Amino acid sequence: MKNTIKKLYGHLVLTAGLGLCMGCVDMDLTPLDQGDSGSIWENPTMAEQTINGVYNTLYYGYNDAWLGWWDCWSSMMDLDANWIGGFGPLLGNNTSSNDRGSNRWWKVYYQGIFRANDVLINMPNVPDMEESTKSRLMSEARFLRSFFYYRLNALYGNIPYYTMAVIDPDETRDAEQLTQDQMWDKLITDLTLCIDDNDFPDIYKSSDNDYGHVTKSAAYALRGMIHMWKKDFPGAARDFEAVKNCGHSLYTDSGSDSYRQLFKLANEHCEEMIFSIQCTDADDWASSHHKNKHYGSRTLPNDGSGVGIGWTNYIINPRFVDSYENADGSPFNWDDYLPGYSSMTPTERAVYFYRNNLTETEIENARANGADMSRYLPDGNEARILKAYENRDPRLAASIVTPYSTYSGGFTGSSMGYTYRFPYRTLHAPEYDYATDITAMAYYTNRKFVGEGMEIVTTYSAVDLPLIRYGQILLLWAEALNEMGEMDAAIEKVNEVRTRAGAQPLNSNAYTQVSGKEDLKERIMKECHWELLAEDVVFFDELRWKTWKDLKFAMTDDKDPIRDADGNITGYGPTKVNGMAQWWGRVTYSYSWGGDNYWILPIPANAVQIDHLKQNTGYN
Amino acid sequence: MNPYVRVDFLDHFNFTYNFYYDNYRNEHTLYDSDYKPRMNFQTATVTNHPATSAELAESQVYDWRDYTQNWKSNFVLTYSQTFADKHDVSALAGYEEYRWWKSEVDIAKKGMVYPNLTDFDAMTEPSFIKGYTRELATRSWFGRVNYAYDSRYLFEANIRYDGSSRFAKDNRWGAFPSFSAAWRISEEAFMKNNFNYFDNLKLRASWGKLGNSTIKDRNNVNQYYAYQSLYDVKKYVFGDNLSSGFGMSSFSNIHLQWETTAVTNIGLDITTLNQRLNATIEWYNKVTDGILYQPDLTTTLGEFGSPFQNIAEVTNKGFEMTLSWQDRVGDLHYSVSGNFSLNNNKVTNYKSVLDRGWGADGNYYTNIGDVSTGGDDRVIEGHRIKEWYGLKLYKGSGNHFNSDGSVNLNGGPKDGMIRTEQDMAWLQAMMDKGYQFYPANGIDKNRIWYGDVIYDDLNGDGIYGSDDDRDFMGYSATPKYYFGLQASASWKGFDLSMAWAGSAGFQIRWWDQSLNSTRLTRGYGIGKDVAYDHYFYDPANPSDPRTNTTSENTRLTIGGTAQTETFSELHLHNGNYMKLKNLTIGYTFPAKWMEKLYVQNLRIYATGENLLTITKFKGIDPEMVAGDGYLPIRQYAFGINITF
Repeated sequence: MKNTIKKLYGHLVLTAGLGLCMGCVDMDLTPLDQGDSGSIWENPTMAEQTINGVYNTLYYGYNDAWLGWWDCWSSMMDLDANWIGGFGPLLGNNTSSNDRGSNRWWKVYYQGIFRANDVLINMPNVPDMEESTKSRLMSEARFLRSFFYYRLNALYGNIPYYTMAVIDPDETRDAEQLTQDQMWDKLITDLTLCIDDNDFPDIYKSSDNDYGHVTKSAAYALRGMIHMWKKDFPGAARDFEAVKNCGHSLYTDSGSDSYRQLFKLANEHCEEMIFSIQCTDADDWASSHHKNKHYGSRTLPNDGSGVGIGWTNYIINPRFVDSYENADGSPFNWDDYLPGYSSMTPTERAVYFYRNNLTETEIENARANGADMSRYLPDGNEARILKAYENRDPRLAASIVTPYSTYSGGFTGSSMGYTYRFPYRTLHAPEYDYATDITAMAYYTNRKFVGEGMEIVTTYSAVDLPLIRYGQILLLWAEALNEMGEMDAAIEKVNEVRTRAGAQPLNSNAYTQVSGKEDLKERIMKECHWELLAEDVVFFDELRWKTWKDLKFAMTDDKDPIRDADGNITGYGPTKVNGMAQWWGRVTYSYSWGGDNYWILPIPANAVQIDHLKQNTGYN
Repeated sequence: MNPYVRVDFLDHFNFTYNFYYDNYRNEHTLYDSDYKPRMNFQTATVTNHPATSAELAESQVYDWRDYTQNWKSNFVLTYSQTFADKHDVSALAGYEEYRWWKSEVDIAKKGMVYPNLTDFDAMTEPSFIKGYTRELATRSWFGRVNYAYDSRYLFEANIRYDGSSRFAKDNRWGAFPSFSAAWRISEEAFMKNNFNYFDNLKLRASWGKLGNSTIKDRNNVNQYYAYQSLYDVKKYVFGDNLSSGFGMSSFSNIHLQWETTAVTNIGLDITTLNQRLNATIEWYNKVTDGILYQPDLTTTLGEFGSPFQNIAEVTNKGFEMTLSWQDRVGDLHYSVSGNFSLNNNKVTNYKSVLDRGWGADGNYYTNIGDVSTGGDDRVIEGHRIKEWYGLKLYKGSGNHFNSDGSVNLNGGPKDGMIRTEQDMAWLQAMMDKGYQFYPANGIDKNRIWYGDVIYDDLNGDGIYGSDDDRDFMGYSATPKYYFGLQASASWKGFDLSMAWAGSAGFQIRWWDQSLNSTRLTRGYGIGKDVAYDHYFYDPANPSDPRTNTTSENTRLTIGGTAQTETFSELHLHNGNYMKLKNLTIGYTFPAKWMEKLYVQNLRIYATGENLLTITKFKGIDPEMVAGDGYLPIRQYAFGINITF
């Protein structure tokens, strides 16, 4: 009996076990957080969302300041001394395996291009989607692809023009490399397709649910910019006029404070913005940018560890600051305010920038650092230096934290004024000195895109980043008109920008009298710098004007003294090339021009080898 | 959890059914603690403040949960029987199913009313909600047959048939057989009669194949859907609202299949001299084929996930030997045993062979990017896996100029560092002749200066230290040789044992900020050895007290120089080491004394681990193959064993 029960029990379990197990595991699994290519293009709801992948590429780099946002490539800003090591294009030692100087931007922009191609190739075949929606989305993808190609072409020249959606990684091999000029022609054709699309809207209202999607005005603007590269100035002027006719205009609602308010959250959708990177603080840091953290200072709200959020990694170059005109339009000259300034060495003239009432130790240190303390005024030093900054183009005070100006910081949990003094004592009571991340040095820092008071309490910011705005279009339009010989029309455009900024309009007094076409071109190029600081766009114009080399790699008047055994100065070393420098011009590190091949970047070695591309001359 | 059933039936058969279930939960909730004043002792001020309402509006509470479960179900049928006393036969057959799944959720909400109200209901707005799931399923059939004749000849055969959800339907299953045989030579009649020296002499051989379906990407994260081309969810903001969408993120490969490893193993076990001498010698050849690997894509596609491919074949050939001796002299028992193994791994098949040289058109060509993967350590056919690939230091003759005044092309600094004014003059003369020295390419404090190193021109194009001059170093971070020694002795109740282990034939990459590198960064420390011993020379002031032209370390610079920051021999260090891993001393009290305490056995001991490391490597620990990080701790323990 026992045996039978045992046997029966055994059979039961066997059957139960078998029944439990046979085929209850499904091995055809797909991920639930990602889509696969098979299903996305069969479904109109999913297909419509593929455009987000292309836009998403725009965020790239704005969360990693080490990469070097474009303004630090231009003559306007300098990158943190800790991060400049290995920055090949600026240090004259770039190679085709350099990350920031070759690989990085090539792969990021091509990623955007291939995502756009994916949309352009597959969108026409999506079932059950309205033709007008398809057409609009394709125009948006085509614009974005043209934007990425525009950047690639300006940076690398000689790039392959891919229009296919890549399925097999081997497809990129053996592509034809177009010259820079041929590439511009291709882009003009592409942008014309966008412009001819009737389903592509001119402009969106700021409250529209679709605000942030690319508009026809952006396509006109980009096509106009490419005409400038091709030196087709009438074509450019026509396109810029078309931008205006789409409904864009300068932001002036805040009166004389408009230039400052333009970059605040409340105005990020104003009519001046043509194409900007849409940011939000609703996705942690992912769909936003970190300019608040990397431009901002230690006076910003507490980052949770006891210090302010800002790391001040992007310094404004003092040669650029010195280029801001006086309020009456005359060029700024230190000697007008501090006679003899330009004949002193930077370390000597540091004395002018010191705070009042220095302690004995501070005076000793200053002397040891080479400052000419015989010129120090214990009670009047600050007032004296302030004079040099208080009567300038209003954009200087709106964009840059200058010596002895105030910054409204949120470090204490509510708005508090901090004054930028040197040498730094303390950020707390009683001094409330403005604190950068490198308080031992005196650097110019950014105000634009940095939160004031308690405006932004996170490292990331929700303020949209403008890539193309009407102010820039006016200046490009002025440049085109000037080249066509229409000086008066050009001056009118420049004055729209200057008036909004509160600067002295051209041809309104002796200093602002335009003396001719060359003079106006110089003025317009400078205007672009003052107007577009911190927006990462002027670098590409410096490449187009071919002024980058002379501006970025200029010779300063800083040199190191050679001392004998007693400490007396017997001579001076060579003068230094421009680089990151303090207020008085003392250079921390210098740039180095690598050769004429440095106008474009080397094509990444990996792409040259695997895709059999031809490298740009001068690089190997 | 593991409920099971086991049934024995028909005398020789046995059936087992097992069910395993595992559940793992990991939950974190994170929020700021209550306000505690933070004091800066240097300035005697309090540097923080209780959160203001504006700051509370941005304070977040985070909740992260990870739930992983798996179940496994198998049943196995075994049979074993002995025939005629000499033939032992046994067999086994089975089937197993496995399912694993995981869910991860990450939520944060922000806008606190008060710092200690941390429930989500008390917060004002969602900050982010993220989550994903992953799943894996496998099934397999397996069987085994054993046969032994007279305990002298032993045979075994196995077969497995595995299927995994990681592969597409057409490539899902793989069959993996294996065979082994052994011959106890010492049991043979002719051995017992004529060569009676061996207590045990056994020769064994085996060949087998196994499959691997674990797919991990470059960051060591498990991949479960690698054969499918995927679109990541990508977001953008439209109309001030976050909008989710898709962006192509990786390429697919439906041909993905099992990676197979075939191992051939031959071994010989010897015990002789009255069981005092034991030796084991083994030779193995392991060929892993169809290795699942993501080859490098061209930079143009560099932001997309490379498709996994069964692309590589690696051969691991090796040899292991263990020798041990135990004996006694009077009351002293002792034993010593040593082991040594040598492993040679080589990538025997990957894309194609390296082809580089001078072409007919006078240009230098190389296909390194095409046939290898990696940067400074590469996977390429014909070399060790991840063999180091970098620049070699220039080794000159020490002379500088020929007797006629022209520059000696083979002259220059002996160890590659520009140390003397003569070295610098040689460098300048070489540059004047048209040779270039990369990466810095120039002589001044920002480029090549006194105390920098220069690199060799291996491809002969006149550029010293260009990318084309990089070469394979013959070593990787994986040791070629492993060895160990164990010894123990006991005498009248005292016992001593120690174990040494070491490895050799590898190189460690070490050039770290604030440790051994001469790259300085504002705000960071300097390694002590580097601070007190580094190259310094100022040609404008040769009698400067800081002058040191013989240091091994290069000159100090902020941010490093292009010459020292590029990957080269300078960053590689020999890692050979031998460690005393364990030393134990103990004493067992005599049994006579213990009886009185009603204790069966009492032993006290002291043991130390990781006591000594013999190595030339100056970094933290060669065993960890790193110059910095956490090293295995040295510990001392004292203990008592009591048996009642």
